[in-house]
Amino acid sequence: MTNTTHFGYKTVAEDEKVREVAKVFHSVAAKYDIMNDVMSAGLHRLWKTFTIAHAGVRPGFKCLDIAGGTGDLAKVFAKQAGPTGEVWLTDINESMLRVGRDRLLNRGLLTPTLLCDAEKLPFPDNYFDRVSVAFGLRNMTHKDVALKEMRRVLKPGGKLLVLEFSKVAEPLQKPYDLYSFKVLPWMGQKIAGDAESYRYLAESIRMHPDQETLKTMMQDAGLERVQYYNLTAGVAALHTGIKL
Amino acid sequence: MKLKQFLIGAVLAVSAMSLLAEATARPMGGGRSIGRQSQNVSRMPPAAAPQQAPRQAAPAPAPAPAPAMPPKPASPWKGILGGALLGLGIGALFSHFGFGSALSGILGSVIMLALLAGVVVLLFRLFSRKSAPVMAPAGYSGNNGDANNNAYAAQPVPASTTPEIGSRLAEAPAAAHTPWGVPADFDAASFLRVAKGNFIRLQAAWDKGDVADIREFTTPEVFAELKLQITERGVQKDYTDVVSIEAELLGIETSNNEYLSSVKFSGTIKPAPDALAEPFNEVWNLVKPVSGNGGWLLAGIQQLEQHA
Repeated sequence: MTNTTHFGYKTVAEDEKVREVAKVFHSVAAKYDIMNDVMSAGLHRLWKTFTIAHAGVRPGFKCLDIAGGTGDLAKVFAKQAGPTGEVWLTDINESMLRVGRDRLLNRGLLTPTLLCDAEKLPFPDNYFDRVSVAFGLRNMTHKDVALKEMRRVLKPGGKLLVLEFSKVAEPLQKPYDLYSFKVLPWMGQKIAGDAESYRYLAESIRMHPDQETLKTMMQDAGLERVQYYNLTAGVAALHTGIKL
Repeated sequence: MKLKQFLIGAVLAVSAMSLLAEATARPMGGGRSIGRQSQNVSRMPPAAAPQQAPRQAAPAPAPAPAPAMPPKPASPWKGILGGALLGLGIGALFSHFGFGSALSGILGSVIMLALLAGVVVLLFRLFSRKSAPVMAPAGYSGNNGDANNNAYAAQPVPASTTPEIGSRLAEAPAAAHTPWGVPADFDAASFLRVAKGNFIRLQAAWDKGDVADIREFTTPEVFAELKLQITERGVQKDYTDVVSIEAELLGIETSNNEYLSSVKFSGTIKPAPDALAEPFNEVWNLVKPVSGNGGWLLAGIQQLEQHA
C-alpha cells in the first residue's frame, strides 16, 4: 500500500499527505481568517457570498458544510435554515473546527459540529438538501471518493456546491504566479510566521484540477447539471451539481 | 397649528409604541433579577467597561495594552519602558513648542520613534494574543488564582452575611476582573463554552415556552419563576435571537455543599426578527452540588448595576 499522491509539488505517500495537510492547518488555524483577508484582499468573502447565494438555503433545510473550517458558510446557512433546519459544520482538522465551533457559538448559533473525513461521511444516504465544500476539496487525498460520498448523502434534488481555487485566465497567469510564489509565502512568514504552509497553499492550487477537469470529475461522481462560475477571472471557481 | 399638534401627537404616540415594544421584548427571566444572587457579584464595582476603568498605576499615560492583560507578571519592564518613552516624548513636545530649539528636529524624531515603538508593541501583542488559544480566564487562574483560591478556601465566604466593606476593598481594584475562588485546575474555557451553549438553548426554550427543556437546566426555584412568567405571557411567543455572545467567569463560591459560579454574559440580542440588535449584560449564577455527579443548574439571574 504505497500509493503516492501530490502534496504541493512534492510527491508523497498517501497517508503522509493526510498528515502534512493536517500539519498545515494546525499551523494556520488561529490566523486563518486574517490571512485569508490579507491574501485575497477580502475577495474570499465575495466568493463565499456568491456561493451562499447559489446555495439558496431555505428554512428547514438540512445542510452539510464539509471542510467548513472557521464556519463562514455554516454560520450563514444556520441563520437561513432557521430553527427547523439542520446545519452540520464538519472538518477533518481539529484546530480549524475548534475555531469554527467557538465562532458559531459566539454568534448565538448552536449547530452540531463534527470532526470527520469527507471520504467517509458518517451520514445516511439521501439526507442533505445542500452539501458545500469551500476551499477544502483541494486538500483531499481521493477527490473522486470524496465527491461520490457527497453525492451519496445528498437527497435526490439536492445540490452540491464546490468553491475552490481554480485556473486563472491566461493574461493574468504571470502576475498571479509571481504573487502566489513570491508574495504569498513572504506574507505568510510575516503574519503567521509560517512561510512553508503558504507555499504549500500556492502549490496545491496549481496542482488542483482546472474548471473543466473538475466538472468532469463531478459528472463522473454521478452529479447532474454540473456547471461552474469563474470568480475573479478564474482565481476561484464555484462548481455546482445536482443529484437526480 | 392643527397640523403641528397632530405631528407632535403622532411622534409621541410612535415613541410610546416603540417604548412599549422594547418593554415587551426581553430575554429569559424578563430582564429582572431572579433566584440566587451572588454577594460577590453585587459587590463588584459597577463599571460599564471594566477592562479599562480600574487601576491605572504609575505609568498613567501608557496606552491600552498594559491594563487589558493583568495576569502576565513578566511585563513590568515593558510598561515602565513604555511610560518612560512616552514621558520623554511629551517632554520633547513641550520643549519643541516652548523653545523651538535646535534640538527640536531630534526631539521630533524621538517622538516618532516612541510612537512607532508603541505601534509595534501593540501589533506584536495583538498577534501574540490572538495566536494563544482564547482562554484568558484559565490563564488568570493559573497565575494568581492559586493564592486567591487558598485564601478563600481557608475562610469560605458565607453567602448571606453582610460584607465587611474594608476586607474586600483591599483587593477590590485587582479583583475587578480577577475571578474569585476558581480552582487552579478548573477548565474555564470549556465551562464557559458549555455555559454559552446553554444560554442560547435556554433562550430558545424560553421563546418557545418549552418548559421541559427549561427544567433540564434550572433549579426548582428558578424553574417555578420562569414557568410562572411563561404562563403569564400566555400563548404569545417571545423572540430573542442571540446575535453575539461573550461569557466571562466572574468566580466560584463554595457554600452549603454547593458550588456557585457566576458567569457574566454580554453581547447583543434581537428582540424581534426585524429589530436592531440590542446589547444585554447579565450574570447567571449556576450551582452544582459539591458531591455527587449533578451538573450545573441555573440558580439565579442577576442584573448588573447599570452605569452606561
